This record gives sequence, structure tokens and C-alpha cells, in this order.
Amino acid sequence: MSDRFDDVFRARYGEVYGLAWRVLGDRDEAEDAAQDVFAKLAGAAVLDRPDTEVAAWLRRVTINDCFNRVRGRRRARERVDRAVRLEPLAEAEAGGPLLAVLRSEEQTEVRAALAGLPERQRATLLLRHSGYRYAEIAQTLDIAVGSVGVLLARAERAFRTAYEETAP
Amino acid sequence: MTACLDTATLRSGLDVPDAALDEHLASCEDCRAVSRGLRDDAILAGALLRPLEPEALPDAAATEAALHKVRSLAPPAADPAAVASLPQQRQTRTRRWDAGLRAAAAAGLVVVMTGAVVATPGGRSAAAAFLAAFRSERFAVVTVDPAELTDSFAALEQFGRVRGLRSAQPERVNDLAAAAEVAGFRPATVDAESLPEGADATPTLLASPGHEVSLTLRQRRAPDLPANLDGTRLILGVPAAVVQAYEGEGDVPALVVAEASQVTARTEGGGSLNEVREYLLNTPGLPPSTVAQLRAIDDWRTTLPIPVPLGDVSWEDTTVGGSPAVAFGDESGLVAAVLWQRDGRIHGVGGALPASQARALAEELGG
Repeated sequence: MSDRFDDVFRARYGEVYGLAWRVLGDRDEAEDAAQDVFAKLAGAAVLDRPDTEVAAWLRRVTINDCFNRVRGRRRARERVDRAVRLEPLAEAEAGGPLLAVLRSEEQTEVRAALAGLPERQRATLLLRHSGYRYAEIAQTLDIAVGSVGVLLARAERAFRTAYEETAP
Repeated sequence: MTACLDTATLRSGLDVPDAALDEHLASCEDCRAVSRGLRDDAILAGALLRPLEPEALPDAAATEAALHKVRSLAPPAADPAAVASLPQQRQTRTRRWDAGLRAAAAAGLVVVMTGAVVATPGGRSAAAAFLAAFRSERFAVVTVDPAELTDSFAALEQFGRVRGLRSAQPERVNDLAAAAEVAGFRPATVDAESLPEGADATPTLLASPGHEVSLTLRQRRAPDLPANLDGTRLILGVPAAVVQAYEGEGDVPALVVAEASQVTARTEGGGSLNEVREYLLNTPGLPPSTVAQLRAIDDWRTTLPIPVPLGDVSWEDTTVGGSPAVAFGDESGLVAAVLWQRDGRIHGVGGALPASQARALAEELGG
């Protein structure tokens, strides 16, 4: 493993984890996803490219990986259900993130509304509201900077509509 | 007035100052209305998405731990061509995976063997027949290289997702009543006159409730995992325990009295405990001597393997109050311990004391 990889990892792991957490809403899953992303980076040619390109690559792969995980949500849901049934009470009372997520109806509704959006809109929404600039979003999604605004506007409208339909 | 602006411009204008846009909005009611709608959508989206922010980001220590883990999973950087595609990467990961395999397999075996006992009592519900349930009844000493059991539960991550490690850390308690409240049983007490010479009169008390640690086997982590085991949950019942440690003059406590409930293991959702055990026993790279010792345990479903560091400790089978027991001693003869099972609980005494005194204390407490 190169020094370059270690430097990138230390600089970007928290960011990748944070992005994964927003999509997945579970600490263990987010750690798993973030580490998978970096395992892929270790052998990728992009590691030799400038930092901004590596960062965009990390965001893109993170989003794709996490969306894939969400697509397998039925299996994930089964795991969650088992965990809720089987995790010891002590962990539940300690406020484990899994249960914290489940307890939060608001988060559940927000995630349900997000899940109904086209993936590019969903990615744009998450990236923008994670604080990324338009240029970074464009680089991540491989689209023109000028397209970000309209994509974001559509995503926010669709998200609002979906949320209002989902929430009681 | 200029022509109305497109949505992209109006939306980006909410985030990036744009004097030309502001000038147009000042004179265009239609665009102001569109902009207000976009702003309302953006504000609502921001408010709704805010709770999705992570509670905390990994700190430096967690980042280093994650880096260490990824290093063990990821392909070597010296051969980037070999990992350009995912299938190739997986092959490399398989090879790299071998590096941590011995520790993980040894840990896995201890987990499986640890719970290796039986007893699905007759009369359990039919649903229970789908589970393999185990409970320890006797001991078998298995010599191991200590390095192979370091951080054993963490090593299980090589095989899949481990859960429950954080759930029940031992806590320091003030008295035996508090310990009993945590552990669910009242531990034995040691008479003051039975304490080894030089031991403090008051012990440090640690107690932990019983809890479960589960490992969900995943082929993605362990590429050679048989398909029928993918998704199988191995659930280890870590027993409730109370430890009374009487400090002495040296580094080793003068006396430690420990008591724990039963160790159990079972599987759910796929493979049986026996299949998981066989998979782990056949893991390449596992020390043959460890495998041979574990395979030599005929009644593995009722036997709790006790890992003992190779070369440092001697032991012999014995009894305490008629119950099966193992007595341990180190080469110096200065440290001794006795482990036994009685009334469904595991008991131990040990410390910087002669073997004869450890035996006598064991008989006093458990005879």
C-alpha cells in the first residue's frame, strides 16, 4: 500500500463515511461501504491523478456502492429486522445507530421519499445538501456544471412531492 | 426587461450570488414567483435532509483502525494492473485474505467450539428444531500460539459482519449485591482467612451481563465460503460474569475469583453449527496442531475448548467437588489456577499463589 493511498485515506475517509452514512443511515453499513470504496481505490489508476479527481472518484463510487446497497434493501431490511429482534437490550438502550434510525419516523419517511427519486436526482440532492459545490457535484456525476441547477431543482421538487405523499 | 431565465439559472442563483439575476428578478414577477417556489423546495429539502447527517465522523483513531483494516483487504499497490477490474481484485483479496486467516479461523473455531454443546432438551418447540443449540458441560485444553488469538472477535470480521461487541462491557461495581444485579446471579464469597498472604482484604469487582455476539457469514468477505453458509448467523452467547480481583504485591493479582454463566452457540438462517465448524476447520492456513486438537474432541457439542498459550502453561484434568475441572500452572510455580463447572456455571480461581492453595480454594468455593 502506497504513501499516496494512506494520505488519501486519512484525508478522505471521514468524508466518504459521512456520504455513505447519509445514504445508508447505519454506522456499520457506512463503515463497510466506505472501506469497500477505499479497497477499490487501492488498485485503481485514478489514485495517480490529482486530488480533485480522486475525490470525485471516491464520491461517485461511494454513491454507486451505497445505492446498490439500498437497491438490496429488502435483504438489508431483513438484516435490520433480525438485528432489532436479536441485538441485546443493552445496546438498544445505549442508543445504537441502527435502532436510533429505526426509532426516527422522520428519517424513515425521508429515506422512503429519497428512495423514490431517480438515482441521479437523488445523488444531486444528497451531494448538494451535504455541502458540495456545483463544480464538485458535476465532476462526481460526470455532467456539465450548468446542468446541476436544473437537476437540483427537479430533485428538490420531486423530493418534496414524494415526502408529502409519504408522510402522514 | 430581459427574457425570463431558465430553471438552472434561477436555482443556482439561490446558492451563488448573481448580480445579473438579482437585477432581472427585481423587474420580473414571473421569475420571482418561480424563484420563490424553488427556494421553498430547497429550504424544505434542506430541513428534511439535515437529520440524515451522521452523528459523528470517525476520529483519527477510528480512521487509522479503518486504514489498517482496508490495508489487509485491499490489493497491493505494487501490482495495480492486477486489480484493474473487480473480478481480478477479488482474486487478489482472496490471497491477501489468507494473511489474516489463521487468526480469524482460530478465533472462529474458538467461538464455535466454545459453544459446542448441546442440549436441545426434549420438549422444545418444533421451531427450535431448526436451530442448533449448544451449551458447555466440560473443558478441553487446546494449545495455541497466543498471536493467533489476539483480538479474536475483531478477527472474525474476516468472515462477515460481527455485531454485539459493544453491547456489554464489564463494569466496575462496589459490592457483591451490585455485581449480582448486573450478572443475574450472586457470586461466591471468599473468607478473609482463606486469602493468600499479602492479598488486599477488599477485591476489585467487575461484572458484566450476558449478551450475544453474532457473526453473519458473508461470501463477499470470505470468498471460499460455501454458498449455503452465506448469510448464516453464528450467535455466541457470551455469559454473564463476575470477577473478584484481590491485588497483591506483584503484577499478577494475589487472587482472582471468577464466575460465569454458560457459554452457548447456535446458528440461524442457513448452515448448521456443524457445517460452520467444518468450514472453519478446513480453512487453509490454520495450524494443523490446532485443527488436530479440535478434531480430537469427540464430544465437541458439549465441550468448551480452553485456549492455552503454547509452552508457557502446564495443566492437568482434575475434579472440584466431583465436577470436571482443569488445573493450570506456569513454569515458575508461582502462578496457578483452577477452572471447573458446577450447577450450570463456570468457576475459576487463580493468581499468584501455590497450586495447592488454588486447589484448596476451589474446593472451598465449589466443593
